[in-house]
Amino acid sequence: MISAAVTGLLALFTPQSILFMIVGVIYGLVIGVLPGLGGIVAMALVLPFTFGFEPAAALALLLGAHAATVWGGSITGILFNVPGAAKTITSVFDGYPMTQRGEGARALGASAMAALLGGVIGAVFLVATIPIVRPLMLALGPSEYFMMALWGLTIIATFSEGSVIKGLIAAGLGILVAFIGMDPVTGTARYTFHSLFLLDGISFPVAMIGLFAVSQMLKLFVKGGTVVEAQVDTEVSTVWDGVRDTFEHWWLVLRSSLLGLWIGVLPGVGASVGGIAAYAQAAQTSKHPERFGHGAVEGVIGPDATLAATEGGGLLPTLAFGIPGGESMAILLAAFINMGITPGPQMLTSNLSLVFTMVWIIVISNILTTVIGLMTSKTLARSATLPARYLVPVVLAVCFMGAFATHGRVGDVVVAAIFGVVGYIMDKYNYSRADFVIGMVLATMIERDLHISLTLYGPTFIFTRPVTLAMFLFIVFTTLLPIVRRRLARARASAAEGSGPDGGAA
Amino acid sequence: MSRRAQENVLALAIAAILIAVIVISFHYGPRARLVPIPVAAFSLILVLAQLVVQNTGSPDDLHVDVLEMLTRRSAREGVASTAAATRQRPASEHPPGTRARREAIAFTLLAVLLGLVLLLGPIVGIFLFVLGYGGAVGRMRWSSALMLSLGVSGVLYLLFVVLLNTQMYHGILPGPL
Repeated sequence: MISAAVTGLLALFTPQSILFMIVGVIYGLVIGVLPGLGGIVAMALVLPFTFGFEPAAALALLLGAHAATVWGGSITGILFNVPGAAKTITSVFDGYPMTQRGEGARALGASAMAALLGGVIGAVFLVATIPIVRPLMLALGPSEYFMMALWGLTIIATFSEGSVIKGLIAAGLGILVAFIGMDPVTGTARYTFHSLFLLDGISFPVAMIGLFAVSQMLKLFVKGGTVVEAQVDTEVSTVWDGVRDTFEHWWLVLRSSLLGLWIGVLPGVGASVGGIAAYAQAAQTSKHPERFGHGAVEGVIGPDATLAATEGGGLLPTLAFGIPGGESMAILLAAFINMGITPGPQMLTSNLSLVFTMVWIIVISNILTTVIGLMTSKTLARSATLPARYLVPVVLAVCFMGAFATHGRVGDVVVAAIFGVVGYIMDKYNYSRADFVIGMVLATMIERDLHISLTLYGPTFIFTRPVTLAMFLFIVFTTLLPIVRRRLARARASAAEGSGPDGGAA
Repeated sequence: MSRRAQENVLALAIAAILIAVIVISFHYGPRARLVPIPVAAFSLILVLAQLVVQNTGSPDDLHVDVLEMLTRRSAREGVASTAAATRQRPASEHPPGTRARREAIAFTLLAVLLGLVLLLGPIVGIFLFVLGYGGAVGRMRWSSALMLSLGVSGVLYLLFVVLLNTQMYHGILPGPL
């Protein structure tokens, strides 16, 4: 295995591979920044350029671009409340509030370092856990995936500041919006009103551009001033504060990375769900869950580490079974076919050096992304202090262009505008947009896996499947944990007050 | 219109949408409506609960937190710490009358941009919008507005049309791009 790791690394030390990786990382960062375009688009667009090159160089371009989009997507989410891609949606939850109080550079530094550590930990554990993960992966069925989606929903209370009822209503509306279009289970056209455009459903990236980016620009126009709410002209923190935060929360980084690896391994779950699940576990295990949604640095660190680690995890089913872990891995599979590589169990034996080449690409491209990120974060954070008169027309223009480019349909621009107004109204009346998006992301997974579970295991599947039951109990535990912790803290505080000078005397 | 009245109008609008979803869902097969109807019905119950609590609670506090009621936690715990960290309110907060006018202008601007994109296509529409916004709304010098609009539309053209090879929509009206 060690010789395969060395051979895999040496394959990358050619001028062509190095150049391709640098180009891929820079290109991935640019694509990640553009709203609506993520890793899938990045890989799909460079795929034709990889034909005819050495596998190591071609994979350096593809995987380098894909890995860099993770941090690229977080930049605009943190600075402008505009997530670059669906999977980086969680960057707006705490990253943007940090920017608003003048800590944009800290958030970007934490995000970049978490992505680096997540990518490296994910890749290292991928190699170490190959023999264990395979049987575990095959043991999971649709009922367990259903439980994972339910776990994602438990995060709703975290965002429902002021009203859990409104948060649940927003999540319900999000779920229903996701049902617009062709039902993949029954083939029924639902809520389409005979519109061909709606038959494809509401595009998630387009809805997200409207809900967060367009509505944020409307809000900025109405409010005036700059994105940074507090009257601070300069940053009150540095990039290195964010780097230090990441190392201080090393246990969160490790947990989130392993979660990312696991989610990446599971076919069809997707990085969007991974980001939300990571945020859920970060909030539920934090000593200060009440800070989440208000600029908690853990809310930036956890999801970014997870998203970076999913890259490594997604490789396993793609390489070992030819089952793509997600859409981007499906593109990688297409690249394999063009290179004459046949995925399958033999990849982990006779082609192990190529597997290691890919692992090294993920590690090195994450390092490159972080170096670029740390070098540019300070400058990037200053852009949040631009006045609304510059920011509003430019960001609106990019959003509309991004919405159009998502599928090349002008109808998506209309959808983005409508969701912009909806997002503005939701924000004004405290109906959480984050809950709406979570509902939208998880709806398809919930419905699909519920249908399959009911068909395969019957209506009592939660109690008849041991793993499902264990996951269900885990959900109950992680949901109740913050509440119990808070009650215990309050009880301790009351006891301390009672045993104080006055209380003690009494 | 008072804040409570606005909240009521919004809640009633959401309730109407949810009722429509339930009614429409009955036209689909049992499997196709298995999830949508319970989700819509549960959401409808929540909207009705929200209507009750926001009309029976204090007019100063329309945010009723069920989690707070269940756990006796203060929902303001987190907010307070953040408020302390943020310290200042935005300097440019507007009074309600001005705010309503600015909201109307914001929605109009969005409609104008959408109209321009539909009529002339994204590149030309964006060029004209940024130029008009910069000069008329942003009160920039027209030469600066022209530079900004040329820069924005030029970069977008380069990125999306040249580099990403996006098939551009040319609008209802005939245009150069």
